[in-house]
Amino acid sequence: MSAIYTCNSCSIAFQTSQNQRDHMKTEWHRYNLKRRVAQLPAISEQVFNSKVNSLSKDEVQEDQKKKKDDKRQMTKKDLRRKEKEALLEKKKKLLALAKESMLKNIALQQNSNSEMSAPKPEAVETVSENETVTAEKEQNNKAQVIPEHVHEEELTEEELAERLMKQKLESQVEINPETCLFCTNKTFPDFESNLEHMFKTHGFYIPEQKFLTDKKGLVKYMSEKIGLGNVCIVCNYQGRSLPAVRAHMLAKRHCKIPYESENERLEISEFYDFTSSYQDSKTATSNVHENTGNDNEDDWEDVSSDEENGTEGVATEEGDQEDDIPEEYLYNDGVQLHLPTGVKIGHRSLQRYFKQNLKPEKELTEGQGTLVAAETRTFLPAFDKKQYQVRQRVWQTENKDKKREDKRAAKFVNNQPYYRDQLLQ
Amino acid sequence: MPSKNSINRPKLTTNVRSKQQKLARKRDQRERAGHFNQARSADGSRSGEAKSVALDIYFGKEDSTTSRDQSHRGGLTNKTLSKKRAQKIERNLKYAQQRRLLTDVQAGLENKADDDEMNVDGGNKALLRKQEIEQSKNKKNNMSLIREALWNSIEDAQSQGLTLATGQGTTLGGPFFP
Amino acid sequence: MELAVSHEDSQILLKDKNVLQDSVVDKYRTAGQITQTALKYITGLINDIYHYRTIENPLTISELCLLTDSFIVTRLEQYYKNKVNERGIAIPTSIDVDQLAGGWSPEIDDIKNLKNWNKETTSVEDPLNSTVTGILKAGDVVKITLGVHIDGYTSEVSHSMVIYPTSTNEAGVVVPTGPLLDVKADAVAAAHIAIETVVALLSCALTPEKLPATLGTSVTGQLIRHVVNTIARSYNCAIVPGSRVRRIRRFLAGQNEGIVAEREYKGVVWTESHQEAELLANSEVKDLTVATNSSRSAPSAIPVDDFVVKAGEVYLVDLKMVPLGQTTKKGLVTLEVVDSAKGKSHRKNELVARSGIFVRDFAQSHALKLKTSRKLLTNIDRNGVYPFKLSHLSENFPIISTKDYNEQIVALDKDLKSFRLGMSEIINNYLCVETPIEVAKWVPWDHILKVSNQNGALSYDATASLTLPGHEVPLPKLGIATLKLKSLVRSSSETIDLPVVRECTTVVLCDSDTSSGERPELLRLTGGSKTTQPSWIQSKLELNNEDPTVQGIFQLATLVKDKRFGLIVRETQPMKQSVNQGSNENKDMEL
Repeated sequence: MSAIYTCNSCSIAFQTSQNQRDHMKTEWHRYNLKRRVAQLPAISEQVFNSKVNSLSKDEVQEDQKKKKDDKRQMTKKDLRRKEKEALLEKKKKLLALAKESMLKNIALQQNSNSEMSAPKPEAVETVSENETVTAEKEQNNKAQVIPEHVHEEELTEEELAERLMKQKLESQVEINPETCLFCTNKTFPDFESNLEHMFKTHGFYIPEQKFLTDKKGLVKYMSEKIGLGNVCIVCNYQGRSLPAVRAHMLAKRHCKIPYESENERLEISEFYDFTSSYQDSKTATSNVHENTGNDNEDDWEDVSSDEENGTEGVATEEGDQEDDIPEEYLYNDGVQLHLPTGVKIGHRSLQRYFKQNLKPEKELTEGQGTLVAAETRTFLPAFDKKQYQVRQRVWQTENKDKKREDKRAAKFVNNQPYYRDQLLQ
Repeated sequence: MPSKNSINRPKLTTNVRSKQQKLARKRDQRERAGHFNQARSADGSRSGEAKSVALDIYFGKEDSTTSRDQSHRGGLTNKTLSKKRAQKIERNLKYAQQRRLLTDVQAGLENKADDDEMNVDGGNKALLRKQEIEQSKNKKNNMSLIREALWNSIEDAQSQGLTLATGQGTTLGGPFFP
Repeated sequence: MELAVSHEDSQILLKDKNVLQDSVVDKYRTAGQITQTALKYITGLINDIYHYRTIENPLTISELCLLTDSFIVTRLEQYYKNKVNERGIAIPTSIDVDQLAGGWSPEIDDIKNLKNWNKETTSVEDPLNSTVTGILKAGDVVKITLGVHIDGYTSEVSHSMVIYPTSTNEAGVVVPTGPLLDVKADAVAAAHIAIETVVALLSCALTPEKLPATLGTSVTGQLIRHVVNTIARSYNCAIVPGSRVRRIRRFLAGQNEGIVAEREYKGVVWTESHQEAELLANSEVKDLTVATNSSRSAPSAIPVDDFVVKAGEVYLVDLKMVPLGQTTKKGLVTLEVVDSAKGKSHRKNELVARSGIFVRDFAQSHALKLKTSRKLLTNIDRNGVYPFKLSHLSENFPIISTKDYNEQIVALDKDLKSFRLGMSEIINNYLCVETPIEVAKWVPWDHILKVSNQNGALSYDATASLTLPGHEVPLPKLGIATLKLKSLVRSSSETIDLPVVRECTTVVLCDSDTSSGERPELLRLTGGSKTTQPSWIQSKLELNNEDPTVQGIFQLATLVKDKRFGLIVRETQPMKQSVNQGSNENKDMEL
């Protein structure tokens, strides 16, 4: 009976209720509460204090650079957000590194594809079989890692990257080109049928197939994104594990390759080859230049375009052509797509406006304007037949409605002369 | 229709109607209080004069009640004049005219009686009145007056203008083709 | 109204663009030069045909009109090309003979039609003969009217010339046999003196201190009316309704009068109502009005005499006179509109014709049904705001002197056929208004006064086009409306046609900033001593020197003559270079 008052989260006891209450208000207690929520063991007060000290030192160093106002306004939320951002950046870097290495690997693999194709898939298969085992291991690892977590900040970036990489590689799940990216354990006899399945059931549409050169590479990249990085391919949602990401993608229907913004296009641009389309625009632009120079409309269409195609396609390199394409020739202003040829394509959503066949607005010449400005005649508004018909219809419906209302209302009229309404007593 | 106390009474219509009536009453009150009238200092103000909407309409004057908007002076009005009322006004005007003539005659007689005294203005007044009566008599046949005047000037040989023929005449140009 | 112009724009269009600057005066002057040259060209043609007889086959009136219009357009090509948006013919050339007061500008395809429609007037003695056949004869007073605008700055001219019988004098030169001695001579003299006096009066507006004391202190509308009336009365003439001395502005040169109720109209107009008022002024009855003005236009659109002429304005002086020498009684001079109806009510001595000049009414809009009329309407709209003839819209216009004349005429004739089809729909929907052909008529007053007028001013003539706002009722005091007057003119047996003499000029009142010299001056764009010399006439009448107004007129004449002390009037001269029309004339002779 030494103490009745305890704190379960911090596992200490108190003599008086006052002490307990005071303890409940401390930061330490709160921290432990959070740890408890995160299923972590409680830490002693000394450990907490040392931790706080080290953190505050860092903060002080950072804040000396910043203004003092910011320091005061910096809430915990902000801190957490910043931490998250930093972590995200790290992850991104890691991903980029991984991607590079993967690409190198792929390149090497492609080179030696003919010789060594057999052993690798086998390895992959073994991994996929042991998927569940690895997941369990992962959890164990995490439990082991947790105590170390405290010291994470002290490690250098490179070390951290290495460690993360290691973790990732450990938990990596390789997805075969014949396996569906989104379903768990759905394998098809060949790559094409797999693609068809993904397109039909998940809507996995590959944009601009005409210019696609490395279809397998693209799918492989996507599978890595999912299997290795556990990242959603559309919104870059970071899942904890492969099943989590898959569940996310299926639930949100994030099963397509994003191809809207410039960055998204650049991300997968290495699997494409647009040089053939550049040639067209190249000739088009050069034609425009010629046209302005010569003022000879009939000639350039058939004669020069052929020549340009022949010569320039050979002479200029790809890099040059990329540089040569001016920005203004192809851009999207949200409503219209301006093609390099000068044609404007309207968006489908505005179709009904484009369909309208409106009378062009009359533009007055100066003479007409003067006459109209000097005019003092007043005119009665013209009798508009259509408007009148509309009004008539409104009247008719009004009449009908009124009659109907009256009829309905009359049903409830009480015709008994000496009736007493009980409700009104 | 359901009664006002019925449970199913059409609330909306009654509410709307009562609101309209309320507004109309307010507007009527404001109008009667003279809030819509022009300022007494305004040019078109008719304050102090007898006010009758019917007479205004009859004479085609601007309606005193709708004159608050300067741009619509003498324009549209929702007041109407019945045929009967118009006939009444017409008859009254006739009587008023007769009454005035009578008083004129009386005044003339009185003035005659007073003429021995120094009433110079009175005499003038009577003369003016006389002219007025004549004019009012002739007012009906305004057109015939104009016709008369035109006939006079047509037949008047003297107002032939100032054509002058001294024999010398006017010569312009010369024996060539310009 | 569907169309609307913002307040700022209308300020610019009506005010700022009308401020006289050097560039504006330059445009006016160029327009004036082209007008003068065209007038010289057509008078030369007429002289060649009827006096010198160097052209064997006489050109008809419609051909003369067409040739002059072509001449103007080809001349205009050389000036302000690509510098201004709009330039062109301000009034299609019209040639009115004797009793026609205006609007006679038949198309090339009307030559045959006119002869078919007016079979009764084929005799040479008939007064309408030269109008119908298009061939003039000795004794005719021919009024030539034409106008040019550059960027809306308009110059118009009208001149009356007399066709003489010719004889050869001792020197071997063809000269007129003698001066015109008819009553027409009175009108020619009156019109000439009146227009010169009004121009002098307007130049006095620049320096009001030089105005003769008998005429007042400032140049007002009343003064102009008084002076012109005095001159007309002295020569026993009447001023034809439709005469006016008015300010013109950019694109508002009186061409749309009666269609557009023009804001801020400034000018003196003569109508039937003024003749009535003058007659009433003699009697003691005054200020009696029966009919009230029920014009729905703004008050500024109604022409009143109450204005002062100011420097920096441009004026159009357009005076038409008829001699009253033939008449025995007092009568009303009015205009009768010629129509192409040949019904039962048609009389034998009446002219049947369709007008060739149209004006677009921009306030009207209508979706036309025929494709030809739609095409024609866009063509008309492109043509500008001035009156036009159908031949102006053709691709074969202007007639080029280097090409075959007959071929061009045939091609033009073909175009006109399709245009006429489209034009009928346009006219029926009021998108265009025909400029009426008017004949001057005299009706004795007693006939008007005898007739009862039951409907009063309420009877409304839907066909009466082009009435000025505020003057819808021709005789307001008597309450006689247009329709009634029309029937009165037709019903009287004493009604006669009167020969009309017309003089018209455009003047710019330049203040010292814009004038060529130091002092303010009046720039006379059209007319003047070089181009519109009066024909040889001898009138029995003259101005009465004892009348103070006439004294003032004489003083004005001397002031204008003496440039050093008096009023400066500078005249725009026709261009020196002559256009190579010789080949064209040769073609004509081969006809």
